[in-house]
Amino acid sequence: MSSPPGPTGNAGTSWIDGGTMTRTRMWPPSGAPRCIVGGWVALQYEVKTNAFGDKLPVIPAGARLKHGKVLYRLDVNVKLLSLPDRLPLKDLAVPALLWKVKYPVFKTNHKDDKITLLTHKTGPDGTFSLRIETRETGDLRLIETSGITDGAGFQISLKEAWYEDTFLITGYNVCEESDFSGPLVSANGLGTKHKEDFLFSATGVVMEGTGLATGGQYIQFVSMTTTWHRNAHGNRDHIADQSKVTFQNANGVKGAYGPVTQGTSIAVDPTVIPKHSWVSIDTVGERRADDTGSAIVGAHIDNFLGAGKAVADAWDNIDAAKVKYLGPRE
Amino acid sequence: MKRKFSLLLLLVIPLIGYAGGTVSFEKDVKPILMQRPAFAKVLLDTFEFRNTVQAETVGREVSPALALTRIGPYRVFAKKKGEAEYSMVIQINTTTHFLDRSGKETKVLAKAVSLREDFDSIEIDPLPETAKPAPATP
Repeated sequence: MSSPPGPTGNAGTSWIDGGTMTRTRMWPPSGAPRCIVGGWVALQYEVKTNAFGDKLPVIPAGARLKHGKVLYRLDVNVKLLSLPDRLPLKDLAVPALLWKVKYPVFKTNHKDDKITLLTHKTGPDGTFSLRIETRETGDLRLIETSGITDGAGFQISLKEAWYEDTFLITGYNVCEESDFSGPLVSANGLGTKHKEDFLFSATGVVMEGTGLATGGQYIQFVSMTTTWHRNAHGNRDHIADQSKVTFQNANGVKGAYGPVTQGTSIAVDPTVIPKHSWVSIDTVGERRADDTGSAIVGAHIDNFLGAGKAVADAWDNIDAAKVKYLGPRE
Repeated sequence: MKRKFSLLLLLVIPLIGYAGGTVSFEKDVKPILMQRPAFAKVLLDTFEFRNTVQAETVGREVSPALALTRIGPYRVFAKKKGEAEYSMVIQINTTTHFLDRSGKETKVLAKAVSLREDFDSIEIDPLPETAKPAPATP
């Protein structure tokens, strides 16, 4: 059997980024070339188009973070071509040809990555599919090591990915004093007077934790040693003893990971979206995971809207939003 | 003991609501209504509800374990079936029971780790002109 065409004796790998890749060179990597099925095999790689219409990886539905890292899933078409004529090797049993020769013939540059075969025979165009699952961002290199092919490699850089799940997007806000009525009263911890209902009602700071006062100052609940007064329905309406509640002034609204900002911050399930990472939410925009909450579970994002009734009135939930993971930013 | 439901009240008073966050009518509020299936059926057969429902939010400073958890009353824009635009606000009143780690009701919210809500009553108000919602999400 003759050697395949092209330069010879040039060991090593040259990588081609993303998209459709064709490699015909570096043959043989080492030692004498081997052959099967009557000829040499060349490989062409192409990332499969995902359900979102592009070639980004997908974060599988229900996947949870591990060590703070998302799970990327990338499906790749691999076309087998005979050499030197470059004809598709159709209807070939892939495991027999490439998969279980003696050892896993495909591997990546990360030891914990998982590679599975999606199709067990090549199609009419000589293509079979495999799936790569990795939690590593940055360069992903797929290496074929059987020795029966031209050893073509494949490289792609991983960062952004689509969440396969669609998300429920709700909104949350803090109260604003201008929305309230009632007399101005003093309160422990504050040097200024504020509307009674803003501080002490069940829709005020004493329940919501933080509120924006008329002068632009944020006020935060600190503690209380009293109980709630209940209305005729038995529901909490205001604090029973205002003298037993303490507040403090604050610079802003506190989230689980630090301050939250209107137009930037969201609360997320921290097992789904990593702390401080960015996502792009369909029709909302890019947001950062700055907050969490016990009621924010799974494919649910709570968008911080700012302060006051007006921002809440203007908000409309999104029942099934597409969300793209963008990763951390410096 | 079962609570006696309030009648549907048509109150001509301004809507007072400051909202601390929204929830989904289908996912979060309908189950509360379904605590009383017959009453829920009347409501669901009569009205169409916007899926964005305003609720109160428990603050992180008030109860770290319940941060961002929504509680009633829930306020939702609604219209009679067949009407083109939302014309009223329905407030769903609940009785909220805050529970500590042992599952017992606590009056100290800082000690609460979970809660239970019982459907109490509803109120119906005309929708103020200033509170017309954005078009409903399809």
